[in-house]
Amino acid sequence: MIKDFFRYALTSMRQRKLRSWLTIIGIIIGIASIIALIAISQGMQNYVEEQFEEFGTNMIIIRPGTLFAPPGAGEYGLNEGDVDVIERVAGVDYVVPMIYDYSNVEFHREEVQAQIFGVPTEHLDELMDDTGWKVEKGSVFKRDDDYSAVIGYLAKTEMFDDDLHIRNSILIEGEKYKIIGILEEIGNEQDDTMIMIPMDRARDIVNKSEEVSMIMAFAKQGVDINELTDEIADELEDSRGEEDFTAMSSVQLIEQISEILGVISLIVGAIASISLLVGAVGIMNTMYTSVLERTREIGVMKAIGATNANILGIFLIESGLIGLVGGTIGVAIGAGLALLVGYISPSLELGFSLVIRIEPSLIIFGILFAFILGAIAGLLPARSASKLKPADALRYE
Amino acid sequence: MVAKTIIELKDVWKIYKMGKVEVPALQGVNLKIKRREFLAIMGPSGSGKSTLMYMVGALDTPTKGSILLDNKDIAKMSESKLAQIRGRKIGFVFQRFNLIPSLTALENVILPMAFQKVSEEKRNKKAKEYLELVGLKERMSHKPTELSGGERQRVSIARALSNDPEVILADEPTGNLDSKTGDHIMKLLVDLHVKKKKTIIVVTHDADIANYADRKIVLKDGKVLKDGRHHKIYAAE
Ligand SMILES: Nc1ncnc2c1ncn2[C@@H]1O[C@H](COP(=O)(O)OP(=O)(O)OP(=O)(O)O)[C@@H](O)[C@H]1O
Ligand SMILES: [Mg+2]
Repeated sequence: MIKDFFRYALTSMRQRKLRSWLTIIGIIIGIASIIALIAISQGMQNYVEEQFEEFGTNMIIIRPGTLFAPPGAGEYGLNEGDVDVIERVAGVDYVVPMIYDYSNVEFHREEVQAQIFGVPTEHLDELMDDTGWKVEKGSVFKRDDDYSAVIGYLAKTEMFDDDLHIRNSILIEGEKYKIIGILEEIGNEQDDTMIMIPMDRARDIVNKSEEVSMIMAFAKQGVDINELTDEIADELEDSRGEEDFTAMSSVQLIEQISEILGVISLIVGAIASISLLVGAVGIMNTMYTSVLERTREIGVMKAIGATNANILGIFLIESGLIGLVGGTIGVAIGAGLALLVGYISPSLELGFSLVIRIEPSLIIFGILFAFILGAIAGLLPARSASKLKPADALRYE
Repeated sequence: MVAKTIIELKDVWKIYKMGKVEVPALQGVNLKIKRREFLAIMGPSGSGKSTLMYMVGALDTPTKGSILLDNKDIAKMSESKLAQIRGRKIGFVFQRFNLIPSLTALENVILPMAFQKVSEEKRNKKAKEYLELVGLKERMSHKPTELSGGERQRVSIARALSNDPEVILADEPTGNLDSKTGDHIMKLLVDLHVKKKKTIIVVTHDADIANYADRKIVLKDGKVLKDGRHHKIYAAE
């Protein structure tokens, strides 16, 4: 009998094609935006998780400024003195100061603004190990005053019209550097387009002898990373006199990013829910109209043996079907949208790229949710249909 | 042969309330309808014929009095029990055909059987049989809008026959048809009475049509004015 109801609901929807589609569009918009948002925020989570795996759990980043944000190029405020303070904190394995800034880079007479990364050679091998960065070709520099550069995976092909190769020479602020290494893909555009040069060279370029952009500290094995972060923060605050910096462990960083992403997706999700609510009200409206129009039909069905429950079922299935069709199309559009955003995300310069995966569970959830939502929206109209007195319904004009 | 009473109305009143005004559509109707009777209900417009039909067909309940179907009071039955009675014991034919517009003729005839959970195979077979009986086998995949008035009424007779009910109620079945088509429909109903042994109750304004019946009652102002039997003039046919 359920099968008959489905068939009947479908023919009735086909009978009112335009109105059915308009109602369905309302659901499509709601479901598509929710599915896209869920997929995109999952994509961000995926990215964060992948970063987490890459970084390991023993890294602490110290940056100037009290605001939480990803490391920004051209920021200064920390200095070599801070590096010494951090190195003396018990539990710290080694410390790497960094300069991170923009500068003019020229290759084959083409000049671009690129991010340069000044790193001392002292702990470079350990740093590469702990951050999971690997050299694809060539090697890293061995001396702090070498005119050599190691470039990121994307810098190789994307930075200039001509591809960069090992042993090519580039001009940084007019000085000639030889490319001695190319990194494997790291996974985010910011890191993959970097040009890494020895610390002393970077100091010359940005013309700062003491200051650094950020400091990375690595914990010894078995040390509680969050406790160590607090200790470093305490010591630094003592020596600097105020807390004008941010110390954050990789764990906290991930947590914080996840938290922010969670809040963002909650807010955006709430907004998307409103559009879905509007869609549901649309279904309700359509179903009320349909019940009114079909009052006599309902009377006839009761006259030929339909129970109240049958009538309720017929209308619930119809509104559920509107939801189902809207949900199916909505999920497809939403998933497509998310994949598209994922595809173009590397070029959005967000500092990260989305890892969009459309899980089967998300598809099922979206479609089922729309069906149930449709049925719920149809509940009141269907109830009023089922409660119609047959004689009154038959007399209805 | 003493036929059994299958429908009995005892002092049935129906009073519609329109705001503060009360419209008494039926005022103390007493009526016994016997199995295999062919009853014509006549009377001027507004005399309560349709109201009476709805009562007899368990589509409405009286304000006062009782209606017994097979000696059981319909006022005491649950909603789903009433639906079952309407579906199995009674077949309706309306003046305005009242077919479901989105369904084909065949699907319309199947629908009452679907509500009674008849198996798909059986109801398809039955529906085709009934459509053949009313001479519409060739039209079964047409929608109501693709059929003439007479054809639509024949579909609704086929629909009334599904579930093989004991009683067929027809409220002015020829009211929307020309006289020739109307005659054809009446012939069908008479056939059902004679060959299928159905109890038939027909509401009509038309004295000729009432002559098909073997009992005629006249309603006026919600009361039974006349109730009489006469010889079947068509018996030889
Ligand atoms: N739902 C209703 N509310 C109020 N009054 C009603 C309602 N239904 C019927 N009536 C009134 O009850 C009376 C009987 O109506 P009914 O439809 O039974 O008449 P009828 O004999 O079938 O008339 P007709 O030959 O025109 O079909 C009429 O006066 C009508 O106005
Ligand atoms: Mg009437």
